[in-house]
Amino acid sequence: MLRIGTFEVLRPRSLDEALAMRSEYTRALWIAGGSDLVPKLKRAQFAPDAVISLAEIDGLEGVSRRDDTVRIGALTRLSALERAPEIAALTVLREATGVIATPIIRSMGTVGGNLLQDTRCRYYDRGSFWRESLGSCLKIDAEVCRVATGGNRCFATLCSDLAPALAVLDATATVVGEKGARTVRVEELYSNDGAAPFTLDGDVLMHVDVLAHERFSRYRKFRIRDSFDFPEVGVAVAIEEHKAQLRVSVAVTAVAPSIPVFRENVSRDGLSQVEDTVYAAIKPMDTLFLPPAHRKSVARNMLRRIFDEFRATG
Amino acid sequence: MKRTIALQVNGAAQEVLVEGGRTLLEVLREDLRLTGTKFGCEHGECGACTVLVDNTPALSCITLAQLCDGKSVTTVEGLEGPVADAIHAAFAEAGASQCGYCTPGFAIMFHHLMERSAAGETIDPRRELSGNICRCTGFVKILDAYERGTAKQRV
Amino acid sequence: MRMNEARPNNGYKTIGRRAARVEAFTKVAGRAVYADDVHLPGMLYGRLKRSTVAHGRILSIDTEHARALPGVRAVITGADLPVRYGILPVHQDETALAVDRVRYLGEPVAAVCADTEDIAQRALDLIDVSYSPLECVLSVEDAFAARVRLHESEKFSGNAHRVVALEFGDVAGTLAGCEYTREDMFYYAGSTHLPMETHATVADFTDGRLTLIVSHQAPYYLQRILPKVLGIPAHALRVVVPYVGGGFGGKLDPFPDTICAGKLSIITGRPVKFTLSREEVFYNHRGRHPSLMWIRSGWKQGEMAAVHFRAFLDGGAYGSFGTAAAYYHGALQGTTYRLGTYKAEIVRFYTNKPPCGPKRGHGTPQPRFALECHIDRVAEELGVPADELRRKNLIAPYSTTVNHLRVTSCGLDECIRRVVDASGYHDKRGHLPFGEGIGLAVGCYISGAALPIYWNEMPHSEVMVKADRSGKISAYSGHTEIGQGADTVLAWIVAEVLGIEPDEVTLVLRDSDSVPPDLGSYSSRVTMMMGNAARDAAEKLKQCLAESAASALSADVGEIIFDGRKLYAADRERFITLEDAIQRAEAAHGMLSFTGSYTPRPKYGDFKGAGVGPSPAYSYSACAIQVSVDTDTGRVQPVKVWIAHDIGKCISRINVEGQVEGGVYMGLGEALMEEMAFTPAGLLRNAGLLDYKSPTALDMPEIETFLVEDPDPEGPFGAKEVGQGPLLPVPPALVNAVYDAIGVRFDEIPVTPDKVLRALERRSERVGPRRVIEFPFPEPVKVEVPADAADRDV
Repeated sequence: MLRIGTFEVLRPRSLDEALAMRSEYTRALWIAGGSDLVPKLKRAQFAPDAVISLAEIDGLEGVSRRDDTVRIGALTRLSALERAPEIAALTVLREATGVIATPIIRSMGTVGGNLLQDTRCRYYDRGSFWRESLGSCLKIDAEVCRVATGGNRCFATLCSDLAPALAVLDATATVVGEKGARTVRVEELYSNDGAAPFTLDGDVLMHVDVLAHERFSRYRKFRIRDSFDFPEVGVAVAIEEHKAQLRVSVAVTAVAPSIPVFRENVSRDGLSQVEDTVYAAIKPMDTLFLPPAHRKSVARNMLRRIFDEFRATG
Repeated sequence: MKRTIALQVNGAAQEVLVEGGRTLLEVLREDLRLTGTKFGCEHGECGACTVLVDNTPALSCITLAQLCDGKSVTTVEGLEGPVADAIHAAFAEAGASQCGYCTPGFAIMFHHLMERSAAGETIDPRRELSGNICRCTGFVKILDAYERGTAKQRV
Repeated sequence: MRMNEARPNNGYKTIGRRAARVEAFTKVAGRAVYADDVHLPGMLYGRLKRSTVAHGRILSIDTEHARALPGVRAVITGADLPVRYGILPVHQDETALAVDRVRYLGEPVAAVCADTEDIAQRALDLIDVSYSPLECVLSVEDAFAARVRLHESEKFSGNAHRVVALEFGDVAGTLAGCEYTREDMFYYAGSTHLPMETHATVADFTDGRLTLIVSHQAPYYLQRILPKVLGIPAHALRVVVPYVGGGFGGKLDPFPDTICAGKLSIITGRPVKFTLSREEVFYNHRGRHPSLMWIRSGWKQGEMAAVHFRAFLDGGAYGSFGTAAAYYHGALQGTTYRLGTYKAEIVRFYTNKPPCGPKRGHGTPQPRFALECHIDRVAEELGVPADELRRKNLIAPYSTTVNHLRVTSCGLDECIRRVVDASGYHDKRGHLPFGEGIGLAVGCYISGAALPIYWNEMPHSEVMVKADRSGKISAYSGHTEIGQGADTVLAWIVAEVLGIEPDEVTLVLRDSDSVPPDLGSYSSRVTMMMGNAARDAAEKLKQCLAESAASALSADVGEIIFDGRKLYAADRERFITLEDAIQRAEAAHGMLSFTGSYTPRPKYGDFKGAGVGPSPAYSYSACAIQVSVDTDTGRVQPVKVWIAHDIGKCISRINVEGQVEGGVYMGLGEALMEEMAFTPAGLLRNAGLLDYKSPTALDMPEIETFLVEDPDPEGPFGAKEVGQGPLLPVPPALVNAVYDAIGVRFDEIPVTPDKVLRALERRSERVGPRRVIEFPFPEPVKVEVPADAADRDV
């Protein structure tokens, strides 16, 4: 069996203890469920000196509702979120959670882990033999990008299913670090740089808050197989209607190092303009399994289909 | 770095000295010689190594052993009692094993799902078993075995 | 009137039952032992250093630093294992570790063994290999055009490894006189077996003898080849095969990991284990050949008067089973259809990729795909339903094919009828809404290759059945259990003959020190050959015991009835127990041990190349698939599969169904998503289970299986094969259904969503290759069409 190099495994009981531990190491990594990180350790994409588990810190796990807000702890298992009655009316979130990876991975993986999964690329998510043969890339330690050769920007792609679903629900994320806690929109967790994809700088995601009221929302995921596979592209939509005016939120995953989010106020007739806007704006690169032009077409078609569903709701 | 971890494996207390990068699968197969749990892909992409950690399904090939300190682990060898009997009989009757290499992972998932089913939850077996790859059966006889197993459980 | 051994299920106690396989509990309880589960005291762990370039000369290999690493016990390179070998005697072109030159990325160049796996893994990083790169060829077109030659010793130019040219009758002349002709081009992508268990070997050299405990489908061939490679006498090698976690053809060649385990155990005097990582299994490969194909057919009054077929196989870096794959490409067109004349021109090229070899269907799914898609188009142009056109042209049972193969039973007509009726094919074809469609195809496969890999006249399977005074009946066999249910076949046949229960048969298996030879689990030969040998041996024991009982009961030998451990006289009242019969016989004759053997002796042609294709019997399948195409994404979802398989006679019903369903699964994977994909540098892009797409439970449609039982006189109790044949009609049935759904002919697989959506957006009528290679095929071997071709009931 493929072996993982060694490192310190730490299990802090509080956030303060966790943050203090992290400062003692130069290459420490957080671990929650481990389903994203450990395969990458096997492929030697990371060589940490310490792996710090967030699993035993109190208060990070669970789904609760207070007034109009649902709070989802970052350490909540995806399988628990899937079954949580608090999100039953949030169709887009329920649908997105239910199609992540596999049932077993959903019982290991966490909400925070899905949101803060490493960006993916067909040239990056490979083992050390691959890198020895082809050479490394921007995202690890080389000066060259294998996708856009000649460029100096990394296009490794965010493939979270939860991020677009939460973004269209206007969810906020609360993170805590040495300088204290702060709250940002979910899409602001991402830097849009594939090589350093998060704005967290080592901070810990504590929880996500989302407004619980019912609205039309959908998530459509496209992939080769109906289990295991990351999205080749995924589209989340939420629509709120006030009189004849629609507030349409669209977020697309697996097309960039971050989650492009579109918030438009249109009439029902204006939905097709939203399709065009989204289609023009997304620019997938050749980082995943299927070609970018195809994924872009699929995004538009899935979006159109969701809008058709909305129109059918009257 | 090495640490001694305490595990409750199939009901028996075990202490093992492990490096930080060692996986639960390596500990089970190599330290404890519980070779019923298989490795198919090494990256959490096939389900052959599935075990229960504190009664929850986990892919042991991508579970760090040190993070299991103090936890209970159930492997295919530890499936005992009426539910296990129903699973064994159902697999045999349906012909759900061919080469048998993915079977331990499925047996663990059967156990987990049948307990959830017994607790009143509605289970969609095709969906819930979609995290386990079988190259031999096309899943037909495995899904048949699940139906047979739950029928036996109800009796 | 042909001789049927029995009506289906009539009179059999065990044969044909729906009951558990013999090792069912062992497997579900996690108690089945596979090679990597074996642990021996003092065992070392091995690892292979692999080439990082696809084609190059090895300038140097520096192993000094690796040797110096504490815990490393030995390091070897190509210089330590210079003897060339290959699974086929005609192509001894491999070495376990590359000598001087590497020909694919991932080819082993050095091996280490160490006290732990961690040390062995670290040692690999300390081995320094430098290469001088050579031009890298990755396709048949590149291979043909390239200046570089992968194997300089080859007799053919253009990197051609093997060229086949056969003509039966006058094809050009017949085509010229046809009312209707049509030609098409096809491409069938390369795929791999992906057994869930990776390759593993434990080697143990002690007291001058080497034991290999190995995950392998054909240990007898290891027994034959490895003594030469390892420089030990054949009697000093013992090959033991535990349960094998899937094979599908991927564990048939002698592999570097096995050979290096043996060599390192000999060097160190310690047990050595090699277990491949999942990534490495993709480099061992030996999977489906990517195949570019061209077909032209000519028709007279709706009959196939002439077929001219060309294929260009991408063989990868070495010969492996490639010669057989090339011949099989042209062998089985005639076993389904009555061809008036037939010409096959096939070339297999070397390329800088992991070697291709035998994957389920070995060389026949590609030409079957081409032929079945071609016929679908012919039927449409002739305005005839596709099932009718096929049925009109079916080969007759008990007849001779255009290429001199002897067909015995053939239930294909019944298979087609069953799936057409059950699926509502006629009502649906052409009548479903846009995006939904139904397609049909048929297939055929051998029940064991009639000729062995090494030419000889000895039996292909031998079984010993032994009885002793305790009442125990034991069966000894060297076949391998790769999941297909071979152990069950052995136990059930012996049990049936002796009237006992299968669990009363003790199986002694797969240890070359104690069991007779069996050629292995390949070419769908085990039920036919081991089964016949087992029946032969069991019948001899039965005769001996019947004589013993007849004497004790003052009855005629012929009237003794074996039933449930009792031997009855014809009156069904007087009996002696099985134990009593055995003890009396043992007292009279001494040790009761009987051997059975099976040697296939089918009739076949007398021309070069006639040895590939003959089989004691052929299995037949027909398949209808209904699909739904998502026109938003391009994804093709099979909705339901109806498949009928002519099994001759079921030995174990659930095992037969399981093989059919598994064949459908693998066929759908190849049709929809599985493909070996390489970078321009020859690096495999998808060497893992996330990126090499194997369908999940959610991707599988409902499968309705029909078993057609028309017992074949050659098979044990009438049984034919099922392990490979049912895969064959699946890919063409699927693309024929896609055409019905969206009007696009997919003349290549896999039918991935990007190709489908692009075709819809561009309103393409077909997706597939547009040219083949202008290869200078030699003048074909010209063979007369057999005088009795296509005669029924000869």
